[in-house]
Amino acid sequence: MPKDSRIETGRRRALAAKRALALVAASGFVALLGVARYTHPGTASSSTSHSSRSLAGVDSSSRGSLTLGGGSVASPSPSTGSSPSSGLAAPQVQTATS
Amino acid sequence: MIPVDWYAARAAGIVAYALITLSVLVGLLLSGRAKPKGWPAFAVTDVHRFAGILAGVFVGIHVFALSLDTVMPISLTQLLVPGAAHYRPFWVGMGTVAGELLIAVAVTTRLKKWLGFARWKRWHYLGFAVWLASTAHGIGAGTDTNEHWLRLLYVCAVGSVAAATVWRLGRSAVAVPARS
Repeated sequence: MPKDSRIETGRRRALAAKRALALVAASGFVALLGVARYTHPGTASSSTSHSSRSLAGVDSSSRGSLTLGGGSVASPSPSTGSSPSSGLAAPQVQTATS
Repeated sequence: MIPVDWYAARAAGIVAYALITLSVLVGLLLSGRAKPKGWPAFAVTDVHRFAGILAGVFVGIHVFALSLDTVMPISLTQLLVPGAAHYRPFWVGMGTVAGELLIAVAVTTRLKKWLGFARWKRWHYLGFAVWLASTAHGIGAGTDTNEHWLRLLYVCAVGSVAAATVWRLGRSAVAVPARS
């Protein structure tokens, strides 16, 4: 019967469309996982992505209030040795945020 | 360590947005009584409903992945209460509103027989609010908003929904004089 076949055709088309939609959504999700990996700032190495996201995640409104305090460099004392274990060999840089 | 949860949250959010847009577009076609050749109304309704359910699944993945995030932890309260998040509270709040409205649309669709068609239809217009809130959420809170491909997605989504809405309103304007 033509009416039955029309209903059956509609059912088949709906089923095919739903399958295609699920497939496209799943493959799109997988593809976007890759895109998210490579378009994210600071993805030169995976170990830096977390720290860069922390900076990227700061709201622009709060970024405006971020100020860096004056840094201080501890000059190495000429009287001490250059052994790293002394703790004075390398200049120490300190910054403060407010 | 690769922050898979973070990538999954972003990817699922984008897929969910595309599916919400598709569901809204198909819904507009249905309410405007468009008759695509070889597509009976029940088949179009089936696809519309499935797109909505699939969008809900990806919204679930989006929220679940965000809840796992350790870099920018988000509590249950921040997930459920709009504006409670520390990160861009307004725009993240729009996402919370969109998610909760999506649940309302789903629940009222389940209760369609009990509500009656007219009341259900009024509730179903919340689908527009879901789409608007998710568009605002994606643009305002999305990490990838400045990417060209995502901008293109937003332009296509907004353009197609705007065009379909104009078409739908045009169908109403034509239908009203015919009935009187």
